[in-house]
Amino acid sequence: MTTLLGPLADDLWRVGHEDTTGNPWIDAHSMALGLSAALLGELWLGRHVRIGQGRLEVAVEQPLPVDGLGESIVRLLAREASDFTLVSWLTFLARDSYEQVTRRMAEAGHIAPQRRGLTGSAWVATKTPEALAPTLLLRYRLGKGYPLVRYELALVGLLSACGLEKALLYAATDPAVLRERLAEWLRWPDMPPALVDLLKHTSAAAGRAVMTARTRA
Amino acid sequence: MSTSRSAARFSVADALRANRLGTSSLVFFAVAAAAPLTVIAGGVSTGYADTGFPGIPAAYLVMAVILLLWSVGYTTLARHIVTAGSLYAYIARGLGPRAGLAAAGVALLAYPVMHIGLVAGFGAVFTEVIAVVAGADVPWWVGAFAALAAIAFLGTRKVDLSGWVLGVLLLGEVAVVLVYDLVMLTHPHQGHIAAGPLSPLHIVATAGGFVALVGVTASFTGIELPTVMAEEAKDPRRTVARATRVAVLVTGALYAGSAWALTVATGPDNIQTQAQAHGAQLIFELVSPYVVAPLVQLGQLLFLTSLFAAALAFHATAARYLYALGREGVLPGVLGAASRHTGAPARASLVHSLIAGTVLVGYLAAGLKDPLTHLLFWGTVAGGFGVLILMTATSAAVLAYFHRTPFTGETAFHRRVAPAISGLLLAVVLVTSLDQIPILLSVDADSPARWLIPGGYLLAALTGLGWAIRLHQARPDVLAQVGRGADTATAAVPAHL
Repeated sequence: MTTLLGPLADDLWRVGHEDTTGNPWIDAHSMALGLSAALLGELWLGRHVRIGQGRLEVAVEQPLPVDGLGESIVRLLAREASDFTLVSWLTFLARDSYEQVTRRMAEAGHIAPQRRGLTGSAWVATKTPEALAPTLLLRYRLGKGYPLVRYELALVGLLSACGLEKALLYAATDPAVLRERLAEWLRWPDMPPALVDLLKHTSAAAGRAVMTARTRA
Repeated sequence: MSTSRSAARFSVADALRANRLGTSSLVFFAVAAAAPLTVIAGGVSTGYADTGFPGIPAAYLVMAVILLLWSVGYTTLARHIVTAGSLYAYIARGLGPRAGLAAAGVALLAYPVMHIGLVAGFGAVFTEVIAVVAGADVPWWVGAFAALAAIAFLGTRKVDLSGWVLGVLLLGEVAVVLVYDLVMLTHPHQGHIAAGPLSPLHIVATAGGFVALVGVTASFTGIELPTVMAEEAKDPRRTVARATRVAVLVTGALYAGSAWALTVATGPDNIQTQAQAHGAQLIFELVSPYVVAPLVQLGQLLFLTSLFAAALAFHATAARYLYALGREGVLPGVLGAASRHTGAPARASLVHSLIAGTVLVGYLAAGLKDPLTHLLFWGTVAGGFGVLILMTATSAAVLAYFHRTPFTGETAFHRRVAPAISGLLLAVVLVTSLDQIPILLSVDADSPARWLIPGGYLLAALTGLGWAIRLHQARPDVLAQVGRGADTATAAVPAHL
């Protein structure tokens, strides 16, 4: 089991923002896609949904997630999962995944708004060790060549899919080794097929979002 | 209970649809990338002047038909492969990563060449406009480098293709072109409307016919855009295919019609002399006796913006290739990163602009002085040659992919007949046009210069192939993943590819 705080989307948020300033490492849309994939990843890890062949299926025999955000997503999926593809769900959830995850973290007291300049504000972690934990833990385990558990593998895959590798490698002592280990894990032949599917579709969606240069409302 | 169920159902589908594009929007993007006035005032006129080939309208019609068939196979494959890639990704998935990288090499020659040509064309037209408006004598390269710099900057931001500025300009362009066409068709030379130039027989009967087909291909390059934007589509399965077809038809009809209208106004026998006399100003000269001066000036201005928009579109395509290749690790990963603030492929964009700038500087340093012919016209035809190669390879990739993959639910027409016929026709066009390249370049039939275009692409393809071989030795995992993306049908990808 991982020692990370979780849940998955929260940890992705932590990797995606600088600990002291709250500045994001990537653009908002890529982050939103990553978070939306992470929310689905949470449900997959909790065995609430099954992912395969570009589609989602709710495991109706499972109890609903304890987390409010997860529960609302599962309810929605239970009604409509069969009508839409995984990519559609990623896009749909990405509309407000950023706001939802930020709100969830704020309500749990992990982040708080901080004044910035004259009129702006940014969300910053309330406890720096918490904020740094995912990045440092992944760096440590990758650097030492330790095995990753499913949760950590999902996190690593997601941050890679939405372009957050630079956050992981920034100011690391041996970025080349980290990059190599990261690449090895991403092509691990025993990666659960559901995770493979989720990561590939997220990666494709994130890439296309950059390439089509459409601004989003 | 059931009302709340249907209400919720309404909301998800609605929410997905709200920010999505319908067929008409996708068609719009495709046509915008094709830039009507650039093609008609710039490309077609210079084509008539340079080659004297009267069947350019026919070339548009014939190419439109071939591309309609081609788009069937292409959009069918795109439904099965979810990739953040361009044409090379589809070729890689169908024919293997080595073929994919060879294709990427071809693309990285074709699109920059067209971009440079259009930027140079912008500079040349800019000079003329400034001469009329301000009486100043500005060298063409001033406008060219200004456009290059502006495009380089825009590429680092997220320049929204759906931006209303570009939209209004495009609608203006199309409206102006339609008005001009009407004027020209209602004032035929010596009162006689000759439909001869529309006859497809010109392609086979007249010298230069097949190379004209190559030349017109560049005008159609927007048609791969709806597929790239598939996630944005309301109903990806149908909208994308429909939008691609409509884009081909609209583009083909508009260009064929306008190119024909030019010959009607001058008389088919005089088109070459007239085009040589007036160059890119031909269409404006022909309509100015019959329309109010402001309408002609508006056309001139829209011609300028059209060149800019077209150059921007090709720049975006080239940057997309660089970004996608960087993302996959084929090219340095820094190219594959999106800008932190705007989410645009900024580095890829700047690298491409740098290359284009270097080529322009080289052209100037070589003391050459005819950017409209050398860079714009030859560049567009050379680029069209490359795009044709890519399209032919894509048809082959479609055939190969569906041959290997059973139970896809696609009809034989979609996965075999259409790609086979279109691939064959495109290959015929390519091979037959090789003979006719001297006509295009205005050199002797046995001059070694005629190998410049095919030779350049062969070199580009070999470079891509060489890169693939090097990758196979250094990073075989990267090579195996080229163009992979995600499959909608199967989660596991065949190991041998």
